[in-house]
Amino acid sequence: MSIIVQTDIAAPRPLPQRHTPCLSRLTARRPWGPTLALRVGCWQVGVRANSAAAAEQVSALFAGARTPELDDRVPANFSVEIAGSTDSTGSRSRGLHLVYRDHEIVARRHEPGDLLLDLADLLDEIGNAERCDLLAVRAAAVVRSNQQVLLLPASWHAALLPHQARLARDGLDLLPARSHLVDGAAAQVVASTLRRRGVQPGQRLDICLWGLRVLTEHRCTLRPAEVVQLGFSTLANVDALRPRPALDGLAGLARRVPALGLPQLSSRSAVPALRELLLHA
Amino acid sequence: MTVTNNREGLSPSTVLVHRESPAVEYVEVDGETVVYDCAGNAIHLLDQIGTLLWTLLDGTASLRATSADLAAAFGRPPDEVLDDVMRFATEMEAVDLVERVG
Repeated sequence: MSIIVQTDIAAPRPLPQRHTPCLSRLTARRPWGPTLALRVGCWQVGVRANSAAAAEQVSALFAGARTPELDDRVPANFSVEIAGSTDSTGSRSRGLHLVYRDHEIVARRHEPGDLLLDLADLLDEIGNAERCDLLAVRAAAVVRSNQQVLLLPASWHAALLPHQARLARDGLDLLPARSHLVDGAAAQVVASTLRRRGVQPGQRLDICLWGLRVLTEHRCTLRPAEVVQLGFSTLANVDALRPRPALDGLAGLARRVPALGLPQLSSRSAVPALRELLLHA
Repeated sequence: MTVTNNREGLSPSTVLVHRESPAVEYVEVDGETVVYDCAGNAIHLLDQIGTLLWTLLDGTASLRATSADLAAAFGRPPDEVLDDVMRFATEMEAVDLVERVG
């Protein structure tokens, strides 16, 4: 499998790294391999791994984005730690695979393959923030078997995650709770991270419902202007897109897609709440 | 058009205009308006009446003249409309979405 990373023609800049004592400790604690340079949107991003095998997997997965000539010039923005690799003390590491952004753990998985797909999502997130043609909407997203998408408050993802297998049996795919590229005028999600669910990069999926977080206890219908107002705070790329196109894109989306204000969700009520939403979608 | 930063209280003779893009951006959707204040990073929602008043704050007429037009259009007492317009204008100026002309 290979991942296609969005690129543009502007000269790339190294993605800034936060230098902290924690990062220094992380660097000292593991026998990291060389940092691999990847081009993600307008950024040069560095990824390192704690084993040669993991580095090879990263290199193969992101082959289309690799810029090896910059390997020695990029900071290690992401560190991939595969459990089972031997650390500098000769002991076995923990049985959980991790991705760090600088010094902070941003993904943890039991399956290395899942971890690398999380890394792909994280890189997409960086690219999405630079997109100036589509809305990058932070949301949980569920794809129905008819390929329609429900966008839900990002906070719903954690409540739905324990039920992922049950949702899958109902023909529902819960996608990562990161930013999704949305064409507001067409009311469609443009697939990027969706690709591993059998959807091709660039494929467009209709949005059938947009649920936005409100501070009420009950679900409520939102007027289009309320959707624009609430939706604005979910955008990850306002700076790149600029406010006016962002507002126009949200207005287009608000006119075309039914929207609901949704309260916070507990894990226990997650599946029934989602099923009820599907009746509206 | 000359814009001033005089922050004394508004009078009926004051002429107001939306702050220009890119300081303020707005979009109208279904009769309501969402206004984004880029400098303050704040987003405001104007209802249908607010949207009507917002469109009239275009730097061409005083608040009194605007009120008179609205009073005539809606058959309401001019003084009552002027109070509403002054209140709205004061609120818009307080959150920095408009500026004075002249």
